[in-house]
Amino acid sequence: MNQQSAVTLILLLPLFAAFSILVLKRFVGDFVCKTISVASAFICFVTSCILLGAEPVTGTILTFIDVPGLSADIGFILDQQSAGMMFIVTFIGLLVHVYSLGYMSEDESQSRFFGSLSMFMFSMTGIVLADNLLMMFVFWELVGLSSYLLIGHWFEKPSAAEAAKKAFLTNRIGDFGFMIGILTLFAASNGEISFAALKESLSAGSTSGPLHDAPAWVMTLAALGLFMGAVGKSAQVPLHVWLPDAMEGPTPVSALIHAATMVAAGVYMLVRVSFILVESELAMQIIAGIGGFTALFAALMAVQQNDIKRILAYSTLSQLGYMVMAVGLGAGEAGMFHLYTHAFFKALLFLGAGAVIYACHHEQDIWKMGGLRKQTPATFLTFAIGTLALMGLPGMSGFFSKEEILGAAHHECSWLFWSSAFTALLTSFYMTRCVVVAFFGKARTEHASHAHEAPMIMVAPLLLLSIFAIFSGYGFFSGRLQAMVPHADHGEGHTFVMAVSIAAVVIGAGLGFFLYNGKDKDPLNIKLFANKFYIDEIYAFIVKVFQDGLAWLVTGLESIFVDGLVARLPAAIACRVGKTARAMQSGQLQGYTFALGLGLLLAIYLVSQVLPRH
Amino acid sequence: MITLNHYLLVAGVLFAIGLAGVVARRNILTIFMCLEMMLSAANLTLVAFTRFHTPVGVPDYSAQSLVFFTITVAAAEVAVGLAIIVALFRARQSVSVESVTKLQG
Amino acid sequence: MPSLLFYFFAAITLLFGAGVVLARNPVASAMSLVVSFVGLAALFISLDAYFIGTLQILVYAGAVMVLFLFIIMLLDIKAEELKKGNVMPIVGGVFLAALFTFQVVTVLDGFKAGDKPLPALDLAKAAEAPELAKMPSITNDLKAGSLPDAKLMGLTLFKDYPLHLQIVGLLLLAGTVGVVVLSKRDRKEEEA
Repeated sequence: MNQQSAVTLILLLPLFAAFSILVLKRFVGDFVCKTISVASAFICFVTSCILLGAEPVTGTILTFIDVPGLSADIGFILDQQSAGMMFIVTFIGLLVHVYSLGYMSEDESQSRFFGSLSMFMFSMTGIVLADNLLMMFVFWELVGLSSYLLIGHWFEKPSAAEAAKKAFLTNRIGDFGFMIGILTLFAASNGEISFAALKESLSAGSTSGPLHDAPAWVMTLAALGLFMGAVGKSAQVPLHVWLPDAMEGPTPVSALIHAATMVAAGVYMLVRVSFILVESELAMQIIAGIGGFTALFAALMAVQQNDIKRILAYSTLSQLGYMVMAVGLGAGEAGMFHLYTHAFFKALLFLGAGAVIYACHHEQDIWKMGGLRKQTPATFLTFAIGTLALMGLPGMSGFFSKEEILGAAHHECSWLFWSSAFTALLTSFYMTRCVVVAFFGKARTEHASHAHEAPMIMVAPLLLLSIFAIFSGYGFFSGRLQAMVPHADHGEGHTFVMAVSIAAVVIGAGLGFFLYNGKDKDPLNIKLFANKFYIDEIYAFIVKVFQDGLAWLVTGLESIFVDGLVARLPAAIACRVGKTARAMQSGQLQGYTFALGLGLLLAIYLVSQVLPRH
Repeated sequence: MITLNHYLLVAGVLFAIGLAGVVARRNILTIFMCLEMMLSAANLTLVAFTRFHTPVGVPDYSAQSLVFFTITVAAAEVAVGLAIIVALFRARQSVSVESVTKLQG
Repeated sequence: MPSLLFYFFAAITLLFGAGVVLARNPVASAMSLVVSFVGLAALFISLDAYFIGTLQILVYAGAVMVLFLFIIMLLDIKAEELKKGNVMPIVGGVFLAALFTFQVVTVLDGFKAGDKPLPALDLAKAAEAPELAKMPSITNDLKAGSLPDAKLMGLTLFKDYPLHLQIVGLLLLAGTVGVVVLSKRDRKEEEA
């Protein structure tokens, strides 16, 4: 089949699956629904493999809007970036589908879960394939919706419902900025929103368009607006608060959405619009700064977390910070490369954590585990591989991608380089802590001592992913599969960067091992990190202040206008008029006579003064 | 010298006094008397106009005929009115105008 | 001199008219009204309306006011006590009177036709009027130089307004019957 229909299939098949699950849910059983969902994921994966390495092409699936002044359609771009990303999304998506067959086997509403998963696949595919900003925005929102459905899958638990709401609202704030960016570009380029048209509008030369002549502040505004969308979706500071709470969702969800695909959408979008971002020096600096800061911030918070999924969540935040920083430093390809490798080993870690939780009967606190090295060897092995990849051990995929980013930082901005190096040290420190406490030593509880290996259907994806975690950084894998071809030149100081990163890994790991081996409770007790720097409390306070202020204002306005003007004023008028009218019917003779006299005076006035004038 | 306007002014002031009395007093009989005063003021106006309008050398007697009729009718009205007041007094035992409020509503 | 008399009688009329309104005792009010009517009759006479002036005294001051006094006596009405809460009517009355007076003054100011003085009577010319041809008593008086007011009045009434006279007569009859009916006591009341 030709490429247009292949792309249409990838995009619409999950939507069809989700719809049919929605409709058929009450008629057929869980088994049929699960089959539909997994089958659609498999078909999409196969199709995207076929599409790898194809010629870059764009096309239109459906004309969405076609009015004078705005022309947007549901189209697609199929180039190296989107094909590679497609591969990651469908591959990890398929693995998560298979894994969930095992993990969610005892859940009550599996059909709903798989339906939401298919919905998510549809939305994410839309973002990857989008060829204009409007389409990307539409699917951006759909991804937010799918994330809400999935995080809040166990919505009877209040904390899960709260977390889903928090995720959606925080994303909305970012999306507001995204919208402003899109509108700025729309206005500045006289009505263009597709990537190709914007690029053309921006280019210098004989065909330069209005965007080329736009003033600097317009480009900065557009760039920052677009970046806001990434801040929300990829959970950068200050909109990072939703990601740790999103761990309330089932672990496969965390693996798919919050490790590999959805949060990476922000980085993907930034790389897509990087031709706009580079126009504004200020915006690039801000992006790099926020990225670097998020990386450090999240790593500090991760040092004191006790829930295994929270640790992984903060580590995701930290790595996302690296990717965003890379984009801000002008090394977007390095950011995409890290996204690519990170997807594999982070998904591996999450699924492994899921296996651990499953083994310990849904226990998530690492201080209640222990000795799992002997109880669940396969899980331990894959988890360790994932950890080493994340830490950036030389030879693992993570090493290559992280080194790219550090190299770019060293090249561009010195203090970002040192903060990133320190973050790498912290990363290896807290990951070592996690592994040592959970897997080494003696079992600390009953559940941990009775832990057993997860079923094969859950372990197989782990094994598959660990292969990718090791080898995805190498040349023979990259090129075809990879999302971006990294630049081969590393500039000067290449050796220095490598030395620093290796040193960071070794020091951090050694420190972690030394502090935590054989301990039963945490020797470090840093409240600030453990309480996430109290950011949630600050936000709650700010929201409360604004809400109270707004309520006060509205109450005031209501009591003056609605109450007073509309309700009480007519009532008062009616009362007064009634009283006056009643006085005329008093029954008092003198009153009547007085009225008679008044009428007489009025008549005389009219006859003598008014009439003669005419 | 005395002009028509003088007589008219006197009549006007008399009428005003009568009007004030009708509105201000409480005793029905007093009100009635002020009413008569107002009627007389009107009569004065009419008579003044007859005298000052002499088409054939003598005053115009049409208006004086009107005055004649007015006086007659006023007398009849006073009689009937007083009879009503007497009946009212029998019913209410008071001639204050405040006790007659049947027109209320 | 006549203007002095006019002012005098006008003053009497108005002052005693005010007295009617201000007097507390109804009998005093009635008496004031009588004197006011006398002044008014004098004003009528000054306007050469002898018949009307006499009628005023006879009917108004003589019959109507006597009737008033009879009723006051019959109902044994005491002087009005000064009760509280009577401010509003008084204020209203004064307001009305003042405003009306102001309006009268304003209107009369612009009434140019009223500025002429008392026109002279041309009695000789009136004697030549055609409708007086068959009235020797009137024409003789006119030629003699005196105004036969009552006779001319009678002529006008019976020649020009006979129907009105009949109707007024009927009115008086109706009035009499009405008064009798109204003042009758209930039969039941008498027997009880």
